[in-house]
Amino acid sequence: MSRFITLSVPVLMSLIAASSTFAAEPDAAAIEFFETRIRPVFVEHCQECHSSSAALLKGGLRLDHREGLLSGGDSGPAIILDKPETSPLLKALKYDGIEMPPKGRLSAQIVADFEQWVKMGAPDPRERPLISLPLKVDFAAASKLWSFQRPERTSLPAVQQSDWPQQELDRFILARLEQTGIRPSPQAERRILIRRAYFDVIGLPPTPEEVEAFVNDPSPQAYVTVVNRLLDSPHYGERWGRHWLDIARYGEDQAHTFKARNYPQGFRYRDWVVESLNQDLPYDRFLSEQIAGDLLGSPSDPKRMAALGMFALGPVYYQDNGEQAKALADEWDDRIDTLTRGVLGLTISCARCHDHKFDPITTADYYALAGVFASSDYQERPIVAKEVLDQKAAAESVLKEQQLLVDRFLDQQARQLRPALVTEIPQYWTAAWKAINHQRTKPDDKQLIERIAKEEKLSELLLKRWVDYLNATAEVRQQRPSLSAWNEWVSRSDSKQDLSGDAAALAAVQQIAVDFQAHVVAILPRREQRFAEYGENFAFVNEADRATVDPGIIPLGNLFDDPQGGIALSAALSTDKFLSAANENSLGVDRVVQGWGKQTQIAKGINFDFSQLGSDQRAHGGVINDGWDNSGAIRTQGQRFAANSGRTEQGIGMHANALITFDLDELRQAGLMPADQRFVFRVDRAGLNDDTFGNGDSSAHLAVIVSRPHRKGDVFDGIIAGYVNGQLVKTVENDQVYYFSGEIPPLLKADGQFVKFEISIPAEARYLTLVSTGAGVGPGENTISSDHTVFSGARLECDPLPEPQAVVAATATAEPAVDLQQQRLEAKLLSELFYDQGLLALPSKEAETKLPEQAKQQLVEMRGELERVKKNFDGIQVLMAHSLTEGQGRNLPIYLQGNPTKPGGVAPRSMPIVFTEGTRLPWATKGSGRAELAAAIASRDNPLTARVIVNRVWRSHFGFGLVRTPSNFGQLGDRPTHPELLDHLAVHFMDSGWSLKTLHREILLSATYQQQSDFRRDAAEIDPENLLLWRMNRRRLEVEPWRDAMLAVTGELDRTMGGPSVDLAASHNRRRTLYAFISRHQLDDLLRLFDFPDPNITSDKRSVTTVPLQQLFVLNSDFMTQRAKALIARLNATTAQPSTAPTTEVPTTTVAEQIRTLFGWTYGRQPSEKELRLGEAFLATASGSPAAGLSPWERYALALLGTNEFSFID
Amino acid sequence: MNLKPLFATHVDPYLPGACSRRQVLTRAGAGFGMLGLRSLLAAESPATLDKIPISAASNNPLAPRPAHFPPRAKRVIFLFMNGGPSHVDTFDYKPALKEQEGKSGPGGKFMPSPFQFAKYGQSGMEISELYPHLSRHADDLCVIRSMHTTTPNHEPGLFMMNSGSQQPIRPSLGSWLTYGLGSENQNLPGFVVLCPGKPVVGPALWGNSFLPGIYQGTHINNSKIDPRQVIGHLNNKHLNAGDQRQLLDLLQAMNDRHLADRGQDVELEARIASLEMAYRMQFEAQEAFDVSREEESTRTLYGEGEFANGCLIARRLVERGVRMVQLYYGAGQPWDAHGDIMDHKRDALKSDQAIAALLQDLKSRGMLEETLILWGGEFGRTPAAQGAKGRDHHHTGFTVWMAGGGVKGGLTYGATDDVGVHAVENRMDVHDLHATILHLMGLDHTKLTYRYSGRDFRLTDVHGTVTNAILA
Repeated sequence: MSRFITLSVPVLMSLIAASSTFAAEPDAAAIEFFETRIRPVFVEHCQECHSSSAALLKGGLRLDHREGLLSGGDSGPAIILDKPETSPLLKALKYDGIEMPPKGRLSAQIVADFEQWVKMGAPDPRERPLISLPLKVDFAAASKLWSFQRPERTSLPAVQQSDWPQQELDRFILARLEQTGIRPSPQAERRILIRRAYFDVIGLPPTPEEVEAFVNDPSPQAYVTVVNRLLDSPHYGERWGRHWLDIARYGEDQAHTFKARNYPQGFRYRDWVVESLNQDLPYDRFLSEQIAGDLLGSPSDPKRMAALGMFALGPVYYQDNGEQAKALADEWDDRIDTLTRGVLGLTISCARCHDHKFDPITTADYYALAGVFASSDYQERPIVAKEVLDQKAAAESVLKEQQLLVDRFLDQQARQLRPALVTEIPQYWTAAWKAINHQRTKPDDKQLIERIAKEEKLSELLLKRWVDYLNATAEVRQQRPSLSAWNEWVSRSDSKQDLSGDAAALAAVQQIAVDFQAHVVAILPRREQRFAEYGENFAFVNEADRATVDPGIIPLGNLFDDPQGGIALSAALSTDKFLSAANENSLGVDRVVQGWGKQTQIAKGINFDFSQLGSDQRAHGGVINDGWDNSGAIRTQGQRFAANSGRTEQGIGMHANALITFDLDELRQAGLMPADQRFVFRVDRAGLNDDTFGNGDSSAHLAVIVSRPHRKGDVFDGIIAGYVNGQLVKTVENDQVYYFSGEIPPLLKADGQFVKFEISIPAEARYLTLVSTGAGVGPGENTISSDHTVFSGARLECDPLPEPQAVVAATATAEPAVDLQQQRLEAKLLSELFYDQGLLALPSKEAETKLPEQAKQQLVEMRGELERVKKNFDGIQVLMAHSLTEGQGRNLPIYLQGNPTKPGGVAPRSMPIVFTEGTRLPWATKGSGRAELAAAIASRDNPLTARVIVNRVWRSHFGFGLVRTPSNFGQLGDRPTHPELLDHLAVHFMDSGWSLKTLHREILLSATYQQQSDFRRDAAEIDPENLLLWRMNRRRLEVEPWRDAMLAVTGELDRTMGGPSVDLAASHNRRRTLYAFISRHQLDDLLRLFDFPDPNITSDKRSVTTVPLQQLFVLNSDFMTQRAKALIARLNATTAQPSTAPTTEVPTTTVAEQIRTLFGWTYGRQPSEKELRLGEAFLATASGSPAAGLSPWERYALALLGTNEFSFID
Repeated sequence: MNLKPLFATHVDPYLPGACSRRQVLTRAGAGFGMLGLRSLLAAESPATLDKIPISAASNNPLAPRPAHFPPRAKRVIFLFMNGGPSHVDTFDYKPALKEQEGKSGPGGKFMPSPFQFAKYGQSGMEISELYPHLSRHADDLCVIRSMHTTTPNHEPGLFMMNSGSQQPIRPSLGSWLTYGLGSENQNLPGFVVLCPGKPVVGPALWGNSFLPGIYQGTHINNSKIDPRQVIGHLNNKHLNAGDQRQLLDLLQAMNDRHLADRGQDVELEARIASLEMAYRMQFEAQEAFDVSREEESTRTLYGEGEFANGCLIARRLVERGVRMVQLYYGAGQPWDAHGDIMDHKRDALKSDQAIAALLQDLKSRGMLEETLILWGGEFGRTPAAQGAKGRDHHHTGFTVWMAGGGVKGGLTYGATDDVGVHAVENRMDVHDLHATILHLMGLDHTKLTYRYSGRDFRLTDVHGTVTNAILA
């Protein structure tokens, strides 16, 4: 494929030559034709997009010169002179295949002109514009760039001033200076030198004592001692860790907030960096662990997982609206950019859409690296030993258990309390009446009920229920005969007027409430009594059932029957209504799931994973009734097996992979079950009754799960108990999904054997779930093989069950006055009051204050125990880190033009080929390739790794690197000012075992570093940018050491190291700035103001801006004011100290002495006479301090802290 | 030496302009004022005081810079209707929605606008009843009905409209403008963002990303009415202007001495100058944000409320040379009318009069010609109903409008299809809009570049075409 942009320079040159020859002898008429008919069209319609000056050259095609037409663009030449009619240019004008210009078809005349012109041989006098074209880079030539050659050590240059160099590196610097005729600057005086070294190495100022000790140290080793002390200081890691974090674009959240992944444990990475630097972890190792810490050594040290934060803490972008592929590609790009600019000094991200235009980097190289990150997964992992994890898990289960004990106890107590609340019925009633009245005139008052509840000291929740109950539609209320007096009142009173102020009305309502209460009180003992005797028979399903069902029993299968509507079960099953929610036609049924994946919701908010029971993902099955013609219970009829043949089971028949959940509260509310009654769920015969589709090896697991809503959002206690094939099996929860754990009872087979279920249902149970799974032969290998499993005789029985005789006797002898209908209505009323969502069912949280003393006492004890186990749990530290793990190893396709929807050829994971001598060497790995990547980068064979870090270290000491574009060592980057020195340092660095501290020492002890920073006109005239380092560069402190220094000189600095990040803006924050929370979304104001880099992208250097907003901070901020006050407080505390001198000679501390003390702290030097006078003058004349203002001394302190001297390091 | 009179300077801090350094220096007077104090030390150096502003100015990244070509507009006011205003209920009349009512459309059933439209001005521009005041300026408006963007989600949509990228990794429009053109007032930030609280996403919307930090927008909470509180640390809580001047003179005296010892240093000088600028800014910025200084009639014209206040502050700021003011309609995303499109009535009511007043006020001051007003949100809303009465996010066709600053007034440009779903005629994407804004400001969007990460970045990335048809 011939593409213009792939032409090499020589070929292009020959082309230009060829076109020039054509242009040299143009036919005048032909040119005339071109000029009048063709050129204007090109100019008007084409060149906006297709010329060398186009804002965006479309399709790589240039139509502003002849050779552009002939060589064409991305899809080939525009004009084919041999076959003019096939020229794409003409086709495009005719809208044949391509449509150009896009804004509208040109006139037929113009098209005809073009046809003629092309046939003429496309005469065109236009020269190729002198604009560089985006050529494909000549790989061989480009890879000859200095930075791709391995650094070699050269011999030390000869110098004349041989007594000047103190380190080898000085000879390189001096040699260049001597060549240029510049003398190096004298050594800085010691006060300046120590301050420079302190800020450089540990980011804090020296104390006056440290300064004096150094200044007065006669030893020739004095400076070496200081340097060594600083490099050994743990503050070194804090200072230099921050330099690295700039490169690693360290941040603890995302720029966006919509479903953003945050990094609360991000500080582990920051701390790892600090600690690694303090330990002088060899730089190659330092890099390897950040790229592939999880893959190094065996077993890997859990602490090392934090190192992976370099990539794990990266930005994560929006992945909504089909933009996932783009977002992922953006994320890989971030990782690649951070890695390659940060570590290799190469701008490889340029090759995301097209081959790099200047460096020998292709899109294949880019996607070869992207594949590594695409094959790595984000993972939060513990960075502690396994024993600690086990301890934590054990402590957690104890904690959860205790939490459940407390919750359940409260729950139980609250249930017992319910009947006692009958006394409050009139209060609730009248309060509800008030609320209903108020609503008439103020329908928008959303706080109404809350307010009334507060006024009347009632439960807001219960009051709402009362309002709903009493304010229900007339139709609903008519069904409640116990409300007849109320209904009558309502129908009589004015429904639009607010009557709550009317005393007579209030009295009437109160009377109705009291009567209602009396009615409840009247029926309550009967309920309680019968309950105590034998439990009540609320299991009326319909009259017909009553004859066949024993007292105290609720046959669940029968609940499906629809006594009124006549909907056959088959019809009911096929409707959405039936599946989604319980209604009158499916009384008690919460959900029916026909066929489900391994994980399914068995009840609201409760997810269960049935993998262990052999479910698969296929959808099949359902709750069945194969006695189709029999209205009534769900049944299944044995057809195939002799043992069961013809046997219709009374109960619930289910297909494989079906699930049905009953909402017991609904049964309670319907008056079918007393609210606080224990029940037993029984199934006489559960198993495979039939197998119409199976193969004879059919098998199933039948499970029953008892559950309730979670007591608290974060406590997973929804499952009360789970049974498989009749036996209790342990259920556990992980990540909000439950599953059966431990041994599962043997499979049920279609062999005529059945199991029984006998399951205690506590009063707090809300859901009862029956499950049938086709089990196949083992977990995960489910086959659909278990049609017609059955829960035969599935029923709820009161516990204890009433003695049948007693009931029978009672029924036989009872007064016929006991009207069944009446009985049911009473039961219903009691349920409305006492079931879990009932009118008097005070939630446990609110019930607490009303509990009897003994219960309260018990609760205190239980909570004490909870506190203890919680302490124990909290005490076990499981440190977590945001980390990476191996994903599915895969090679990415090259995305054409960077577009994820246009995949091209596959780019096998490998290093960019410029590192492998132009040959692609794909990594043979089943993993991500990170291990191989780390090895290739942290390697002596890599020409860039050592050079890039050496240059960065140099830069951080001198303000500029030897290469002044620290993250770009490519063609467009700067060339090193001292290439031999850079190589010398790089080789030496690697030879020293990649020791950063050795490198620092070498630099810090050099004569170059120790020079004065003062301006020298003679040198500046020759080298104004100080490229040759004839002096030290003066540098402004970055925000971190500036702020830290302020806290240090006021004596306030909290030197605690490591740990969770803190809000920098908090007024009590005295930690080093390194420990500030770094937000990608909203960077702290102080950091933002003082040139902290955007943590969304890797930063190669801090910009240094000088703007008034910064100085407003200096002049007016609370932070500065507080420091000024603290500095003076420190001064006062110091001077107030009793003097050690003989008491008779105690001089009053003079203003001058105090000023001297302040100068010592802030600048490490003594004030000059004039500075003293200035200070004294200021203090003498500054006006007295207003109450809330700053005293003259504090103002003086503010000035000292705000000076250039405090902000700049010489 | 009698030092007493040295610091005897008391000035009313709230007297406008009372505290410029020059005046304080003059007031100190009598040969031995503040100047005398500074010279106490400065005498050691070759008169740094005089040359400071010059060397510092050359180093000032916010100094005004020439445009690529003569600009049509010198400043921008971007009225941002965050949440996404519905186009079919405001400026893109779709009678066909009535006919299609209840029929299935993308995301729901078509719902005609509950608002009446009428034609306004000589141009006969169709505007809904939501904008009774603004519609009187129909002939000033250049309504673009053919906008489209990438994503119907707030955060990416906001990023796209503000930075040309839906990820938070690019500088904002205002950052690019101040980078390209600097600012004409060194005592105020060049790019000011007014929002009572924060819109969704927040500061990243006016972030500088890889551009130098000086170009980030300065967020001002315009629900705060105290002009002293609007810029961080603008107000000194402890010292009056005189005391503060005295402190600053001490500080500068020490800085002068420090500089003198070290000879020439541009950065030291810049910081010295910058301290003086900060001092002045305290008073000038407060003045700029103080709408109480406006004539009563002007304040009445704008009406009441945060947004009206914001419009008035915006005018005061551009009047003082601020390059771009972005005014968010409110905190969060008020225009996000999922539940009930009638909520637009509330938002239009609170903004209509103020926007109209802004246009009128700028015009009467002769500033409209050089001030580009832009109105719009991150996207539009679905012509189909969401729920019973609401509209969902919609990105394939929506409306923004411009006024002043070199755009054609009374022009309706581009069109969506009959039902307002897709932009079909003269389609304009966000990059085109950005390219056109830069063009109006005298900048070639392909040449306004910043070298970063090995390549030249642009606001429009590799996209964007200037829409010449809307230029006046």
